Amino acid sequence: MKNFDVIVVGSGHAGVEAAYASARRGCSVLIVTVDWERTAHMSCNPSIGGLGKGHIVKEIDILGGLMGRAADATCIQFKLLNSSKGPAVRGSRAQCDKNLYSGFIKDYLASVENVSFLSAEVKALIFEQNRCTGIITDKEERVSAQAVVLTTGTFMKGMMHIGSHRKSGGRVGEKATQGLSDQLKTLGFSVYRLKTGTPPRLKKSSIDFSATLPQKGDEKFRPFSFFSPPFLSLPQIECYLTYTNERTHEIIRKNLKLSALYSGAIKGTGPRYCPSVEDKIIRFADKDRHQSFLEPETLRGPSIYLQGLSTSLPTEVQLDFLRTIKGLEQVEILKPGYAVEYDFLDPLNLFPTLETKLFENLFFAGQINGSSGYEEAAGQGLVAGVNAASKVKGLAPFVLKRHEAYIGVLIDDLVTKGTKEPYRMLTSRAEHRLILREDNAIERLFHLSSEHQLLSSAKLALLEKELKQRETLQGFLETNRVIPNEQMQKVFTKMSLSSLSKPQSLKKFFCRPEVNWQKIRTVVLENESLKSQMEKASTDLDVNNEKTWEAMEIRCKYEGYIQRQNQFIAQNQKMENISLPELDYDQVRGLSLEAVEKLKEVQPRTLAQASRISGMPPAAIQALLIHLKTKDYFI
Amino acid sequence: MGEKIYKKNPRRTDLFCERPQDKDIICALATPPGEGAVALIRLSGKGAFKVGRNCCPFLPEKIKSHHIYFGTFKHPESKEALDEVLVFCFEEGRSFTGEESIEISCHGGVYLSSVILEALVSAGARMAEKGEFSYRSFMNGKMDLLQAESVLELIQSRSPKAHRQAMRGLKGALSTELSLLEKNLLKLLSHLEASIDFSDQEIEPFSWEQQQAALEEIQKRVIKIVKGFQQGRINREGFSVILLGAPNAGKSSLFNCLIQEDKAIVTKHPGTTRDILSARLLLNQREFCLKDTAGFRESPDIVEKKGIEKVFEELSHSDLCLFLVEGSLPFEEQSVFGLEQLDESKTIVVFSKSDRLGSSEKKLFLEKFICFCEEKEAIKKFSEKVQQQPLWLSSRTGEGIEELKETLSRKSEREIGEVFLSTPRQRESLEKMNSFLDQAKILFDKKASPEFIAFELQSALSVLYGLLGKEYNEEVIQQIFKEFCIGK
Repeated sequence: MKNFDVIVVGSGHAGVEAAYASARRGCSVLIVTVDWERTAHMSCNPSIGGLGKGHIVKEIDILGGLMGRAADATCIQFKLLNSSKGPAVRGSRAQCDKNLYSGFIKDYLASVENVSFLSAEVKALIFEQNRCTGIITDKEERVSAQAVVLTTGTFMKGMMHIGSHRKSGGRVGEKATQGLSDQLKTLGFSVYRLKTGTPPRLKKSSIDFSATLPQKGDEKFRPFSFFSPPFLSLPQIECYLTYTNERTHEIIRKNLKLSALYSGAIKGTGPRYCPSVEDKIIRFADKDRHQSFLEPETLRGPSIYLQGLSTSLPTEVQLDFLRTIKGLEQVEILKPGYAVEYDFLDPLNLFPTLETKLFENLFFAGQINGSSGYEEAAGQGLVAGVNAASKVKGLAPFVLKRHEAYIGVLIDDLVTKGTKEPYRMLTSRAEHRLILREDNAIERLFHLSSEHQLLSSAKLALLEKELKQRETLQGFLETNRVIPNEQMQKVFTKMSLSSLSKPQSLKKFFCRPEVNWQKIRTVVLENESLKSQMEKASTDLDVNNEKTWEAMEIRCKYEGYIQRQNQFIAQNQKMENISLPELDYDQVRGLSLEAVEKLKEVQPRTLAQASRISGMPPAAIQALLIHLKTKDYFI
Repeated sequence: MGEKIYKKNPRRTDLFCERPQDKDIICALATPPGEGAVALIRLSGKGAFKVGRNCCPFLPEKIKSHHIYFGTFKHPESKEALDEVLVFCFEEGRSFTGEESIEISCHGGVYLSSVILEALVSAGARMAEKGEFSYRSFMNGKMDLLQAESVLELIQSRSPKAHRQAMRGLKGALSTELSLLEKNLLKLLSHLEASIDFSDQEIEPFSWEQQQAALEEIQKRVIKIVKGFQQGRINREGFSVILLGAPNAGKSSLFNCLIQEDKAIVTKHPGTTRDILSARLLLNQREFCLKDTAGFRESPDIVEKKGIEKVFEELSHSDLCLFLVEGSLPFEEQSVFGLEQLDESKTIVVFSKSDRLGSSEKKLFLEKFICFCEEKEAIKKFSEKVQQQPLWLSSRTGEGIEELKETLSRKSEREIGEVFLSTPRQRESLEKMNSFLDQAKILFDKKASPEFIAFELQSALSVLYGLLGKEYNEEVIQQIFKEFCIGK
C-alpha cells in the first residue's frame, strides 16, 4: 500500500493551497482528484479578489500561498474597488483568464517535488480507532496517510438543476461523489444541504457589444502578491455593462413555476448576497431593471460570463429572457445557468485548526464547510494544509486570530457560529476592520509566516527588508521637521500646498489632508538637509518603493483610528489568551443548561471564542472564569 | 468577616484575566433600597479616594485607612450640598474588595441615595454590576472558595431569563424607545455597510443627506431619553404644578385650598403675592410640588416686574401649569394676559370664583371666553379643550376641587409614563452613546469614508446592546440583505 504524509482529496482552490502548504512544510503529499484538468477551476465568476476577498488573497500570499501569484500572472483586468474610500475597505480584484489561471497552478504544483497526483474518486476514508489513516478509491485502491484533508467542494451528493431537469453532478460535465457523505453521516458528522447558482455563459460572437457600455479596468496595476513583478504580463480586456428591462422581468415572472428554485425542487438554503435573477425580480419588484456585466472568461476564448443573472430556469426560457436584453438580441448560450445543491458538513464539527472533533488527523476545508468563494476556500485550504503538516510533524497548531487576518475571522465564524447559508466574507464581519487592511498584511502576518516556516528564507528576507524600511521611514518622518524657509516655500508653491507658519514634524505635515506620499517625498528629496538625513537614517532605503510610502501614508493619516482599534484589541486579548482545557461543563456551577449544550457542541479553545458563541450570556463566561480559577487551572 | 479573610490569598488577578471593566471605580448602595434612617454607599477601585474627595472636600489630602471622617457631601459639579455624611476609608489591601475603598454613610431614603450615587458617577465612578463587589473581593483573594460559590449564585441570577425579567420590569416606554433607537441605528449602519461591501453592485443606499438626517434623528432621540432622566426626578421631587393667571384671579386661594393650610396671604388687593411660594401635596400617593406666583399683568412696579420674570423662570422648571381665569362678568381681556406665552400641552385653563356666577352666567362667560380665544391666533389652541370640558373652581365652596385633583393626578401619571431612565447606569450608557454619535456627526460633516463613521456607530450600538442585554451578532448583515438587492 502506498503511503504519504498527507492526502488532499480534491484539487479546487482549497485543495491546491492545502497540498502546497503541507508540501512547504516538508510533507509528502498526494492530491486525489476526479479530474486533474479541472484543478483550480473557476467554476463561477472569472475573477479573484474583491471586497473582503482581496484582503484574503493578500494574506494567503504572505502565508506562502499560490492564489495571489496565479491571479497576478493571469490578470486580464484589474480594479481597486472602493478606491475613493478609506484604506481598510479598499479591495483589489483581478479578472483572470480562467484557463491560464488553472494552468498556472497546475504547472506550479507539478514542479513541487514532494507533491504527487492520483486521478480517482474517493469512496471512503480509512480509520484506525479515532484517527483517519487513509482513503479508498472507487477502484478499491487503498492509500494510507498520516493526515487527510477533504476539500470536495460541491461534489458531495451534488445535484444540478436547470428548470425541472435534474442531474447528479458538482459542476457541468462532472459527476458528483456519492459514498463519502454517507460514510461521514454514519460516523456522526452533521451533514446539511446548501445551494448555490451560476449564470449562463454566452457566445461572444453572438453579442452586439456596441449596444452595451464598455467597462475598463484601472490604469494602475497593483499586484496581489508581494513577490509578483509590478507589471501585467497579459493584454487587458474590457467588460460590458447592460441591463434587464420590463420585458425580461415579464418573461421570468411568467415562467417562475418552471424555475427549480421556485418549483420547490430545491430544499437547500441559498446565499442571500447572491440571489438568482428570479429572486431579484420577486423580492425587489419595484426595480425596473437590474444590471449585468458581460465578462470574458478568457483572453481569446468565446465564453462570456453574465455577472448578475444567475438562474435555474429551463434553457429555452433563459434564451427567451436573455434576448430581450440590449446587446443580447441574437445571443446564443454556450452553457445555461443552473443551480446546484450539495452536502456540506456543519463547521461546528471542526476545531479552529479545521481538524474534525470526531476524528484526529482529518481536516475539512472550503465549500464543504459551508463557505462560498474561491478566496474563502483557499484561505481555509492553507490553514488546513499547514495544520495537517503540523500534526504529522508534531509542530504547534496554526490558528489565525480575528485581529490578525480575515482568514482568522472566516474560520472563527464558521467553527464558532456555524452557518446557515454559503458564508461569504464581508468587511463588516470583521470587528477589527480598520486594522485588517490589504496594505498591512505583511505587518500582520510576517511573524506567523516566519514562525511556521510558510515561506522560503529568501522570501522571508524580502518581507523583512520591507518591514524594516517601513520602520526606518516612520522613524525618519517622526524625528525630522519641515522648516518653512524660502527654498521650502518654493517647493510648496510648486505643489500648490498652502505654506507653513512654523516648523512641523514630517509626520504631522503628512497628516494634512492635501498632502499625499508623492508630495511628501518631493518635499524630502528637494531639501538637501532632509535628503541627507534620510540617507543617514538608512543606507538601503528605497525611496522609489511605492508600497512603503503608501503604507506610511496610511499609518500616519489614520493613526488615531488605528490606535483606538488597537486598544479595543488589547482589551479583548486577555480573554483571547485564556485557553479552555477539556472541561466537564456539567460540573461548572452557574451555567444554564442551554450554555452547557452550546459549550459542549462548540468546544471552544479560548474563553474569547466561548464568548462569541451565539446566544452565550456574559454570566456564563464569568462562571467559566471562576470555575477555572477555583479548580486551579491556571499556573 | 474581619482580619482572617482580609489577609489570605495573593491577588488572583495576577494569575489571569483582568477584564478592562475591572479597573473601573465602582459604586453601589450597600444597604437595601428603601426608607431607612441611614444608608451605606460603597465605592471601590484604584482612585476611589480621589473620587471621594471630589464629593467630600472635607477629606484630607492624606487619608488614613480605617478612619471615619465627617462633613458635607457636595455635588462635584454644581457644588450643591446634598447631605451630611460619615465617610469610612480603607486603603488598598485592607478592604472588603481588597481595593482602595470608601464607604459613605448618608441619611436614608431612595431619593437621597440615588442623588449621591449620581454625584459619584459624575465624579468618575460607575454603577457596579450585580455581584461585582463580591467578584472583585474574590478576584483579589479576599474570599475563599465557599464564599466564591455564593458569588456564583449571584452571577447566576444574571442569567438571560433574569435579565429579560428585569427588562420587562422596566417601563414599557423605555424598551419601546430603546428598540426604536436600535432599529434606526441598525438601518443607518446597514446603509453605510452596504455602501462599503457592495459598492460594486447596483444598490441605492441612503444619500449623504439622508444618512445625516437619520443620524440627527437618532441623536435627537438619545438626547430626549437622557432628558427623560431629568424628568425622573419627578418621582423623587414630586410633580411640579405652577399656578398662573392675572392678579387677583384667586391663585393664592386655590393654593391654600389645595394644601389645606393658610400659607399664602390672601387679600382683595391684586398683586399681593410677589415671591413664589411652594408647598408639597400628596395626591393618590404621588407627591406634587405646588407653586403660587405673582399675577401676570403689565406693571410699572419694578419689584412686581422682577417677580414676573421669576415666574417665567420657574415656569420652565415646572411639569404643568394651571392658568386661572377669573370667572366674572363682564369678560375682561386682561384676565387672560400672558396665556399666549404658554405651551398648550403643559397648560390647563381653569375658571375660578365659580360661586359668584349662576349657570346661565357661566355659559355666557364661556361663550365670551371662547369667542375671544378664537379671534386670536396665539391663544386659539386653548379654546378647544375648554369647550370640551370647562373646569370651574371655587376655593370657597370647594366646587370643582376634587375634579381638579383628579385631573392633576391623571396628568402626572401620563407625564411619568414618559420617564425613561431609572438608574444612573442607564443614563451613563446613553451619554456614552451620545458621545459616539457626536463623533459620527463630526465625521459626517467632514464627509469621511463610511467605515470610520460605521466604527463610531458600532461603538454606540454596542453600548445600546449592553443596555438591552443583547448580543451584537449579525444584525447589521441581516439588515443589509433585507434592504438591498445584491447578487452576482
